[in-house]
Amino acid sequence: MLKLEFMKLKRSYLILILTLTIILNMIIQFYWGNMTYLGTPYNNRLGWVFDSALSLSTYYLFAPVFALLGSNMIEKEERYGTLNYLKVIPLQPIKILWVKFEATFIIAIGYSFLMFVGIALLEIVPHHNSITVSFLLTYMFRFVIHGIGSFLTVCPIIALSLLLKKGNGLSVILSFIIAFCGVLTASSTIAPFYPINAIFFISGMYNGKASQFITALFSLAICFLLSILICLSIHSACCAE
Amino acid sequence: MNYVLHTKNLTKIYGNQVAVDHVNLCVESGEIYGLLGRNGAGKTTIMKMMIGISSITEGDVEIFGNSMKRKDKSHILSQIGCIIENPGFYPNLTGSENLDIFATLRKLKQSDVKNALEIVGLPYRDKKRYSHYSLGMKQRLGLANAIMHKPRILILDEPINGLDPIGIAEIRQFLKELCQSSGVTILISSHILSEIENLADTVGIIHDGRLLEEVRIKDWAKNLNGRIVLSVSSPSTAKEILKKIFSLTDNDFMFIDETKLIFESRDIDTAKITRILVNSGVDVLGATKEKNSLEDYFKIVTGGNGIG
Amino acid sequence: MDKLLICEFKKQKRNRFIFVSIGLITLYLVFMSYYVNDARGLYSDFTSFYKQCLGYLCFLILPLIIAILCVNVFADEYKSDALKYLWTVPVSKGKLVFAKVLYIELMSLILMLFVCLFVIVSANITRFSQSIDIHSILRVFYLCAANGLIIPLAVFPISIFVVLCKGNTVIPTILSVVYVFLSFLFTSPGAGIIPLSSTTHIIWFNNYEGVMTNNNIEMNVANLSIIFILGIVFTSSLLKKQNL
Repeated sequence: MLKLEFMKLKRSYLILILTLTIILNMIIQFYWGNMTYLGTPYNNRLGWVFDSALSLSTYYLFAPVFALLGSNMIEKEERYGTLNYLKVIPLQPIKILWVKFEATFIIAIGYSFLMFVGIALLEIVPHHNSITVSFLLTYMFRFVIHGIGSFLTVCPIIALSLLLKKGNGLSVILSFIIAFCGVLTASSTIAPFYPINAIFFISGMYNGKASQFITALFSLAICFLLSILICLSIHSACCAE
Repeated sequence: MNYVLHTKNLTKIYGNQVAVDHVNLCVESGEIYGLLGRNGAGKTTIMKMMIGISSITEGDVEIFGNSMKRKDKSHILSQIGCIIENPGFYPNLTGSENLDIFATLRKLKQSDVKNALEIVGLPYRDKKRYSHYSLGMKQRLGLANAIMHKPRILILDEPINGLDPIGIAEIRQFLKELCQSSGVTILISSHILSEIENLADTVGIIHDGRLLEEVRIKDWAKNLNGRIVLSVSSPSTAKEILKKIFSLTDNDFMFIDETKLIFESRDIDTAKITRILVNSGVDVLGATKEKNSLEDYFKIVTGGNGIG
Repeated sequence: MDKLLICEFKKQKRNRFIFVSIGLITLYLVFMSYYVNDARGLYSDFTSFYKQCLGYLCFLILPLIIAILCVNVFADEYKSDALKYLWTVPVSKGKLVFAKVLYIELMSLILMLFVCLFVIVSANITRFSQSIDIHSILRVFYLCAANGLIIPLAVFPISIFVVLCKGNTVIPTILSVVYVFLSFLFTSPGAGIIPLSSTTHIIWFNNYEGVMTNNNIEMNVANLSIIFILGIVFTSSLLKKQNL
C-alpha cells in the first residue's frame, strides 16, 4: 500500500518544488555564510553552515512542508471521491490514514537527507581539508532527526486535516506558527517541553541535561500519541457512519 | 432559414489531436436540436466553444447573427442558458444560496430564483448544502440556473444525467413546453437516444469530431426503414430465395445464423415472405417486423457498436 | 463591481478558514502577550509590547494567512467548477479579479482590526496599562490598518500560480510559504526588490519604534505597486486565455 501512495504522486510537481526549496536554502546559507563579522565570513567556522541551515529548516521549512504534504494526501482522497472506493475494497479508514502517515514520514526523511546533502556541499567546499566522515555523519544524523522530529510535531495537524475543510491551507498556517514560535521559546525554561525546541535537545544541537533530553522525547511522543488519538476518533466516526 | 445558432467550419485542435473537425451545424429558431455522439466525440468541446469558455482554433460560431469570436460577448451570453459537463456550484452553500449568487450577477429578483427552483422541483430556502445533494438534485439545480434568466437559447450537455425516470419525463415535458410556448431554442446532447428521439426536432450525429449527418426526425420517421426477423429452418436457403425475389443484396442482410435471418424490410410484407418461403420448401417458425430505432440508425451512420 | 464583491462574501458563507485564522491569531497573541508580560527586563512599555506582538504577526503570520486566503479564493472557483458558469453570465475577468482583491483587502483589514483591539485590550489588563496613551493607540491602529491594507497587495501575485495550476493549491501554498519566509529573512536587502519586504519598510517608515527601515520609500512603494499591478494584469490575462 505504501508503494501505491508514491504512485499517486506520479507527475506531481511537488518533487520539483521541494527540490527548489532545498536549492533556495542553499542559496540563503551561501549568502549568509559570506556575510562578514569583524572581517571574517561566518562560514569560516566549520559547522556554521550546517547549524544555520538546520535552524532555518526546523523553524521555518520542515513543519509547514510536511504538514502540507500529509494533509494534501489525505484531502485529495476525500476531494476526488476515491476515499469511498478505498473503503469499499474494504480498507479500514485507520489503515488508509496510517499509510499516508508512513508515506509522509518517508518523504520527511528523504527531504531532510537531501537538505543535508545540499548543505554539505556548502560546508565541504571551503573546509575540504578539515572535514571528517564522523563530522558529516553527525550532521546527517541531526538533519534526519530534525526531519523526523518536525514530522512528529505536525502529525496531529495532518490527522486533523481530514476534519477541516480547506485543510491544506490551515494545516500550513498552524504548523508554520507552531514551528516559528520555537524561535521565541528557544531560550525559555519550557524549551524541552515545546516540540520544535525538543528536537534540538534530541539531536544534540542543544547541550542539555539528561532530564531535558527525556522531556524532549516525551514531548514528541505526546504529539505522536495525540495524532493516533485523532486518527482513532476519525476511524470510529467513519465506522459509525 | 432563421438560424439562431450556426457553426462555420468549427475546429478545435489540442496539440496534435483534432478534437472537433470542421463542424457545420445549424439550429433553427424555436427548435430542439439533439447532438448525439459517443464519449470523446467532441460534443462537449463544441458546446464549450459555443459559449466561449474554450477558444476556437479555426472557424466560427454565430449566435443570433453575432460571432462568438468577438471580445464583447456580454449581450449574447446574457441570452444563453447552459449546463456544460457537470453543474458547478459552491459546495458550502445551499441550492438557493448558489442561485442567489448567479441571480445577483445577472441582476435578477428573488422571485426568479424561486420560480426556477419550483420548475425543477427543488425546495426554496432549504438548509441542505450543495455538497450533500444527490446527482439528480445537482442536475436539477444546474437546470434551474440555466433557465432562471429566461434565456432565448439553452445549451444543455447531458442534462438528464442522474435523473430518475419520473424526473426525465418531467424535464422532457418542460423542455418541450418551453420550446413550444416561449420559442426557446434548445441544443441538447445526451446518451439516452430514446429521449433524444422523443424530444428533438433535428439530430446531429458527431463522430471523431466530425458532424456525420443532420437528420430531421420527422423526415427520418417518414422514410423509416424497419427490419424483418425471420426464424426459419434453413436461413441460407431463405436468403438466396429472398435475394432473387425481392432483388436484395448481401448488404441488406444484417444477421444470419443456423436459425435466424435479419434483413432490411423496405416495406416488404411479412405475410408475403412467409408464403413464398413455405412454397419454396423452407419452414418458417416466426416472422416479425421491427422498426429501426435511433440507436440502430446511429450505429449505421457511425459504423460502430453504439452510443457507448 | 459591488455585486461581484457582495457575491464574494456570499461565496465564503460557512467558510471556517477566517474563523480558524482568527482563532490561530488569538492563540498566538495570547501566547505573545503572556511571553512579553513575563519578560520584565526586556519589555518596559506599551510601545515595546505592541512592537513585539505585531512584529512576527505582520512579518510572518498575517502574510501567510492572506496568501493562503488568496489561494483559496481563486482555487475554490476551479474546484467547484463554477468558473465556467461565471464566464457565461457573463462576468468580466478583470472585474472578477478586482472583486477578489477587494474581498481579500477587506478580510485582511477585519483581521488586523481584531488584532488592534486585542493588543489594546491585553495591554490594558497587563502591566503596560500605565504607558498607554492616545498617541500610541492611534499608532497601533495605524500599524494594524496599514498592514491590513498593504500586505494583501504584496501577496496577491500568488494568484498567478493558482490560475496557472488551474486551482491546484499545493504548489501555490508552498510558494507562499517560501515567499513569506524569504521576505522575512531578507527584509533589509529585499527592500525595493521583494514586495513583501518593501511593505515592512513602507508601514514601519520613520523608525518610530526603532525598527530599522530603508529610507527610500519611493522605491519601496514603486516596487509594491508595480508587482501588484503586474499581478492583476497577469492573472486577468491568464484567465482570459485559459480554456476550461
